[in-house]
Amino acid sequence: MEKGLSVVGKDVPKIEAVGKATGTLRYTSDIFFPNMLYAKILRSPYAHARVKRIDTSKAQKLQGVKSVLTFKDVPQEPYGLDDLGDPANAIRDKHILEETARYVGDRIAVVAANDIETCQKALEMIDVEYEELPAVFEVGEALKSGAPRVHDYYVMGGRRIEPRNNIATVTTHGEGDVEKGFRDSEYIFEGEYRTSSPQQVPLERTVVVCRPEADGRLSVWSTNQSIHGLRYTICNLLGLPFSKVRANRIFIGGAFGSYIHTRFDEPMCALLALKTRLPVKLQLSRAEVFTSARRYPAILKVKMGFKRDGTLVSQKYDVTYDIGGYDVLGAWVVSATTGWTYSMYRSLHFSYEGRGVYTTTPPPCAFRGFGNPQANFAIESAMDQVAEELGVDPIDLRLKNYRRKGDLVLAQGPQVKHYIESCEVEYLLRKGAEIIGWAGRDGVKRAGKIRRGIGMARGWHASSCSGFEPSGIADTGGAFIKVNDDSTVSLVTALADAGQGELTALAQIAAETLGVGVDDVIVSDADTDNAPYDAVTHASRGIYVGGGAVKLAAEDAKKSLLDWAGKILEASPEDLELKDRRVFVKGAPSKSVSIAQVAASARINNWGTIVGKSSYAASGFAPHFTVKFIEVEVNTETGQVRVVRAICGADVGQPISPMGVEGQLHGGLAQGIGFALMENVSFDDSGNTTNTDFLNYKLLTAMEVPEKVEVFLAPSRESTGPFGAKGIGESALNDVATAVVNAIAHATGVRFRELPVTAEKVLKALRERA
Amino acid sequence: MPEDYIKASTSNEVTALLRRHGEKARVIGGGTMLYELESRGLLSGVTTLIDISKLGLDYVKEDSSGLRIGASTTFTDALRSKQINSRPAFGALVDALSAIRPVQVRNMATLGGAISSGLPGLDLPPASVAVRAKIALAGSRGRRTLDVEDFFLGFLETALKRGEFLMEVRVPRPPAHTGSAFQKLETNSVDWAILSVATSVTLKNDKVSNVRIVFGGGVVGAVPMRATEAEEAVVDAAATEDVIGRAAEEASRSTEFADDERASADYRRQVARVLVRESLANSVERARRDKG
Ligand SMILES: Cc1cc2nc3c(=O)[nH]c(=O)nc-3n(C[C@H](O)[C@H](O)[C@H](O)COP(=O)(O)OP(=O)(O)OC[C@H]3O[C@@H](n4cnc5c(N)ncnc54)[C@H](O)[C@@H]3O)c2cc1C
Repeated sequence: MEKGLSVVGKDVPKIEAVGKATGTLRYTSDIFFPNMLYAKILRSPYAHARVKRIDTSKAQKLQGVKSVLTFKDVPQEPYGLDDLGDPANAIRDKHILEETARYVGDRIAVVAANDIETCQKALEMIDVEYEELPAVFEVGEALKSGAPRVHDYYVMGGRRIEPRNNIATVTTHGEGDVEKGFRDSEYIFEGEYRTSSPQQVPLERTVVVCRPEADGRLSVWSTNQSIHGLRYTICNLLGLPFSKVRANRIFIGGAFGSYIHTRFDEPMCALLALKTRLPVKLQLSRAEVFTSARRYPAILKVKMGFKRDGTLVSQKYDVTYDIGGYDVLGAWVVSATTGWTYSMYRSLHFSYEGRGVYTTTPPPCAFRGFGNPQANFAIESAMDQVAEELGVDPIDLRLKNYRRKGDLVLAQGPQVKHYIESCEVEYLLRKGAEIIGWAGRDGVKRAGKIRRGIGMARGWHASSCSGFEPSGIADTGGAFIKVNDDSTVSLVTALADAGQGELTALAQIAAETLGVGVDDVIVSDADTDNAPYDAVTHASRGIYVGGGAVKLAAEDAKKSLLDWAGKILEASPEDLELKDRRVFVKGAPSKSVSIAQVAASARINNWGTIVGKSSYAASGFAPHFTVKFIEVEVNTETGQVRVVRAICGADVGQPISPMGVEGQLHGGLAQGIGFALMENVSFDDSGNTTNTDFLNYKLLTAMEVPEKVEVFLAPSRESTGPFGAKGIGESALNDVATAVVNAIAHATGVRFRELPVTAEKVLKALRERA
Repeated sequence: MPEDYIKASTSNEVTALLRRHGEKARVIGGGTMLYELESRGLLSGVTTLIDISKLGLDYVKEDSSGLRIGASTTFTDALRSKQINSRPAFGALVDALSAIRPVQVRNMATLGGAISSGLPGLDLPPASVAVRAKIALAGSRGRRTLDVEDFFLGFLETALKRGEFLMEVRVPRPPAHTGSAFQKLETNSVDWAILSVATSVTLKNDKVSNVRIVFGGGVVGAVPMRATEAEEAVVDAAATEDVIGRAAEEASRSTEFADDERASADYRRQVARVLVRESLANSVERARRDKG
């Protein structure tokens, strides 16, 4: 860890804490303008249907209705997410509003009116005649020849591509010869795992406000993790120059990936605002949020070959993702799973084949981990079982095979490459084992009605999307810094804060670099006019890339600060240091000047303003690592599982805000236990989502979160990160569900391969065994 | 969408308003269920909410005939009431009230609301049947009292007639050596019970002289369901583990369980055995401690 730090590495309250606690912080839904219209979407009641006829004339005439749009009124060229990668590779298969619905809830028309009630009435007055088409809800069915085709074609690089068997996208990657590897192995394990589809459940519902300005531009506020991505997609889609849209950063009440990029709602709202020349607010209901994003469900087939001593020789992964009715991020998640499978364990031979398959269900989206929790469930469940079958301690098996310092690892695709620098996996495994009492774990009560068990899993995630070769993924960050006359520091960054405390950590980095307190840093409002480009707050990159950019900008400002302080102190800048809002001559504590004085002198003497700028891309993705050790209680009469103790360890390099890291680990734990035991968006036979509220969608509440949660951080430092820091956001979650399921296996002897592991499934399995 | 919110000051005012507005008016207790009802379109025709908090119905009283609990009594206040929490005979009420985990709900929700909602998946309906509660209603044509069993008619359906509202829950004084208990299974603390069961047992010379086994959530019928065959199997028997086990088997066998999103009927049947057994065992244990 770094020495001599005064702000970084310290627990500080979030900069917005008081605003949140007092309810004065403004979220998008708090934005109101005079004459603002409200919008509501007409959604398909069918999973697969073509609009034969649509008549909006009655709705148009309803008093208070200002605009009604259907598929005929939106850009006709299909679009895809293309702001982060080569637009020629984007799967273009969707429109703002559709003529053919591909899931129950698909967007058919939209109304803007004076109030929500009028919108609702108008929606009921739209007359639609649908032609129902055959639907397919399950990848197994969708892959069969003769299955209903969800898309006849999509467009990529200007060409029409007809997906065969509904396969929208495929990624393959290999090293060595896996079949030879299996022949060389002495023990072969095969398993098939299925993961479910939890919703991200952000506290704040999706909401967009668009306001046409007097100068002909459009201002946009949205629950969106990237202001630049937001501007890009709205402008590209609606054929506007980028200069015509100003996207504003605003606090988001939780996102977890569901607001990672601009989907349908923002362009729809922008179009309504442009047509009506009035401000428009579009906010989804909770039920709509439940059908707007979820984790990509996966079927993962694993084959691993080992030597008797536990050395992993060959690994083969075959992964099928259900990408729903549209490719939102399907191709990306399929590609990223290359890295999630490749980078856990060494082996001479490796192969991965992943595919994304269309079904007529609501399209999933990014969700914390982006395929990694799915891969982790397969890999770490398999390792646990292999250890048992080979008679090796599960921790030793992992220590023998994990990818470590100096090893090549991959992240969001085969082309995203990095050599591991900081890696404290061994520390994490040993320390976690010590805390939970791993050596004596068979001693926990394992007989009778309530059985206890202890299980573990390890995980990791990338801290960016950059590698040592160009990754082809936009990953640049940037920052502006200005030092004010009272020694405060203004910081401009485009990064979004969805509650994780990112802006606070960035303020800490600026403060540390410039020798001021975190309270001295003003994180200014940012928008696409004033902020340098930043790709998006995703991929656990906020600190590693965004923080790296803030540090560079602060160092840039520090140059002028020291130069000008040198003039005042008659010392050379190299002999100066910053501390407590002052500039000191090293070794001569009596010779100093306040930063405020330097700024004021610079103004009066026309030396200039103390400013700094940066635009920065990392040259690697600095993996962060985690372990989870979990103790569960299984009620063998009802099948209920309770997590009674959790140990969460992480190697995040130097933590910028230890409390922030701890918060991520606690949150990841709760989300991961939900993934393991209860969370899943489910459908009936017609494709209706059956759990679109909190009565029917089950997730952990504060009352189910285990009381005993212990967090520990490995002493670690990543030399490529700001002050030695890496990310944490996603690995906090990635290994949790697997550790829970491994603990259930330890308690009961039953290995569950399908999530969620509900009480009913547990009881059934226990009875089948008995 | 309700537009008028009226704070009534007398019960006559309430019944007159209910009479006048019929389906368009609703009494509001703690208001904790309004959002659920509204979001399911179940308040769409309702224009007027009648707040009864000024009627002085927040009390727990005890006299020789038993307990009288005012409709406005919150779960928290009921739980704190010595009259309720000191008698093992009322254990089912205490169990059910404590099983409602969110403290915010306990602080706001009222007994009147819990019963009037007409949702068997809530915890108080089966518990109130187990303790043989009676429901006192006020109406524009006067007052009447009925057995709680007759109050529940179906999903969101109760015996409340136009112009009527729930004033009081009465629990007749149980004989000495009565114990009751409640058990439920849920996925998280804000769930409707996958299965819930309330039981009460009265002992005479350690033999069961009176028993109730009542399922709440998770059974077909959408009202609290007594497992009468199982009850009969226990009456007059000694309160042994064996007998309790037999009753649990019988209750699980003879009841028709729901098959839905939350759980299959088969699963409910299996866990019913467990919950009934535990609830009966707790009831018996409490009955032995109950002094009347
Ligand atoms: C987050 C959450 C978690 C919950 N968890 C549980 C749980 O674990 N177990 C459980 O049992 N319940 C649970 N509940 C439900 C809770 O028990 C009910 O919301 C509560 O009982 C309703 O009481 P209330 O006084 O708030 O009723 P209100 O919301 O005021 O009214 C409910 C209904 O009853 C009618 N009504 C109310 N009072 C009267 C009256 N005196 N006469 C006639 N009609 C009346 C109203 O018109 C309305 O139709 C939960 C609720 C929430 C919001």
